[in-house]
Amino acid sequence: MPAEKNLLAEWLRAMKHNREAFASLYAEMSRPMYTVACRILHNRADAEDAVQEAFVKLLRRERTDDIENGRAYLLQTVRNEALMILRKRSHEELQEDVATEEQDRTDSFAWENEEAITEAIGRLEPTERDIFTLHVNGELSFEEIAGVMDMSLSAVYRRYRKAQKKLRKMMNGGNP
Amino acid sequence: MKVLYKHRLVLIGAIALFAMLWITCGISQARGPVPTETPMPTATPTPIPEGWTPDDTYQPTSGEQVRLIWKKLYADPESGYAGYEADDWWNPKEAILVLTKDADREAILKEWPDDVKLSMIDAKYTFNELDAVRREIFAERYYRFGEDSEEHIVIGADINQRENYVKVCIDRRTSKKIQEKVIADLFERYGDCIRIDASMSSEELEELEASTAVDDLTLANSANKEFYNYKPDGSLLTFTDYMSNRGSDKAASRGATLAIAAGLGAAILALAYVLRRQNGRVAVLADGRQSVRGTYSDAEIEALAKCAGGDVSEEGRMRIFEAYERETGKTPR
Repeated sequence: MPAEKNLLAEWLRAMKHNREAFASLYAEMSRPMYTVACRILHNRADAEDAVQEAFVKLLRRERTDDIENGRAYLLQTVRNEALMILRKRSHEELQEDVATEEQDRTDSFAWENEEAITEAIGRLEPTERDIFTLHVNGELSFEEIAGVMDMSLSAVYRRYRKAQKKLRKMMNGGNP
Repeated sequence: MKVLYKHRLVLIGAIALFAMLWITCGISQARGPVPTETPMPTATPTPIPEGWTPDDTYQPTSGEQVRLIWKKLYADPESGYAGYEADDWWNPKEAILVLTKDADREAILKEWPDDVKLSMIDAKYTFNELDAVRREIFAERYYRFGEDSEEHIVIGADINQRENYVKVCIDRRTSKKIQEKVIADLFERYGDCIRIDASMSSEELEELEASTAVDDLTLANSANKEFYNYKPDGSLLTFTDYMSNRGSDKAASRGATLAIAAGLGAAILALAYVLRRQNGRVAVLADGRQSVRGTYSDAEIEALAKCAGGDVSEEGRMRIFEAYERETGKTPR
């Protein structure tokens, strides 16, 4: 279960002066942030860079009490960082990294399914992929995603449904 | 001489007639050819939603669009519609649609105006289903004034659209025994689509006891007091409450229930085994459930996607915490 909104807000307020608050915030948010970045960048090191940059940006903010939704703010920041890194790097470079990483994986049952879903998500259109990841892994509501991605609620919902449909098709043996 | 004069007059007349004809033709030619009649260009008609009277200047407002969507859903018992709430019925800025899983959310969103905030709440029962229950409880089954005291114990039934249930108000002046009988009957018949207003808050109870207007039946029945405080916070009695209470009285039937559950469990396991044999492999999901390969549902896909999300490596974590230290001068644990 994600941390309560007000708890997250408390950690955000206290983190500059309180090490435990930062550690709690990290424990709660690092996984969804990393997943969002990884789905965009397909590269472990770059995704970690994006997460780090997002936290640094947060720490450099003069005020954090004006952040209404800490979860949405952090996921939006890490998404922006990942997109920035993506623009800097060439497509070929990224593909090579993915290939290397995939070889390292254990060929277990669970891995096989996780690989299949990761690959399927990777085949979605970028907007659909981000909406799906922010909702499923980031645990943001459609309204929060609409704010993060600067889209209307109806557009977010439509894209999400489209992503779901494509994933169902791909996972059940078809093409998107 | 006279003849000559006549000839002159005829000649002048002929010249005048010719001149008039010439002038008339000249004017006509100057005007150019008479244009053939061409149709006036017409504007593309504004699309008008169904059910509205066409009008040249008609532009539906967001509020009208919302009401049209609501009207359409309300009119169709199969639409999955269960309830609607808005901050302002005529000019809503925010609205809530309560919908069952059968509702076509995409179609609703397609027509929904962008400037009205929409929240969708998942519901189990459609409005029509709840309304049928409400009617049956209130009009047909229980509310028969003057016939039988036990049958008119139900004094009201209303639909709570947002929370998707029928609120049944029972007369709390009757004895605990009668109330319990009717409550059991209602829950056994209608399950979780009803909630019963059968308790009083402590304040209400105090007020009732202090009141001189209360009839004798209320205060004479001491058993009522116990029943009124069944839920002292004044909240409604739910199906879950009823089942958990009933559970303590039904120890004898528990054995039979367990046997049925065991039988069902064995059947499910057997089915899973057969499917596994047929399909070769099953997918293990994040929460330990298994899905037969090739038949992933949306929920299973989401569970897998959640499971497939990665974690920052230990090295990455160290770097982030070093950055924290650099920025703040503190070392997190």
